[in-house]
Amino acid sequence: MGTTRWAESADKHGIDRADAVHAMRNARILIEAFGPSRVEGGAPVNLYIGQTIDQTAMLEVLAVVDRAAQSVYIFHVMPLRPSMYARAKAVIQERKDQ
Amino acid sequence: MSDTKPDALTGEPLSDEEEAFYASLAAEAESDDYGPEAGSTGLALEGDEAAAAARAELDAIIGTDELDAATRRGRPSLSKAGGASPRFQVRLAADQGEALARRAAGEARKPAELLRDGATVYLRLAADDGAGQIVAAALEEYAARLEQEAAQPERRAAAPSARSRAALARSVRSDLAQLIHH
Repeated sequence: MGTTRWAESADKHGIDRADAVHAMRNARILIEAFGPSRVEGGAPVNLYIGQTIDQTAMLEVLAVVDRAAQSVYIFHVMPLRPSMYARAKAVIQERKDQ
Repeated sequence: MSDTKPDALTGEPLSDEEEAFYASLAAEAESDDYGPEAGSTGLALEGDEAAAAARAELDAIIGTDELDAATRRGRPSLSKAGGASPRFQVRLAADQGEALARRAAGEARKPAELLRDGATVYLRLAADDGAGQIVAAALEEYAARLEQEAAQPERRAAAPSARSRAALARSVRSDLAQLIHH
């Protein structure tokens, strides 16, 4: 089994890590390769949009899921922004149209 | 890497280089034009499909038990000493479930709280320390009082109340018998 890797930036907005994990595993939106990897041949960035454990807030979580290394790097967790939600919906539509 | 795997909310530490790299990515992600490169491909799912795919991949890498434990820890512990709170799934008869829901609504509490109360009372009764006998004696006294009240003529005039008291007394005696013979 692999491990999680929490970057300090994931805690910047003060969101409980348990809430981030919950939002990822119960994602209402999942978009692979939402952001570039910035590393040649590296794993891309996935976007997860899901609720906190108490279901009072929606979160946006960005993580690099490196299957080869069996690691999940979580580096961005914050309350869902309308602009992020709009971009996510646009990407879903674009990929449906591909 | 240590021999013991860290829990999912702690994880393996990042190197300084990795921290710098992800700090830069996070700053980029907070800009309003962050998004996929043109022509990017990959899953783009919504609703239950998104949850199923995310869960399958994360659980395969980190482990279902580890991730379950991580999200359970988000709730406050029910124990004074903290730590995980064991979970039990209970099946009830339909009428029992309805009665529980009604009672919980009447008390403005959650059904789970009433079940926890029930467990507390039962475990206290069943404890082999004399407390059970004290409670059993109190219940016996209560049942006797209910029967006495139900038998009073003026109580019988108020038929519904008297009948319900007699039924309650029988119910208490039945529960008592089960407790004593358990």
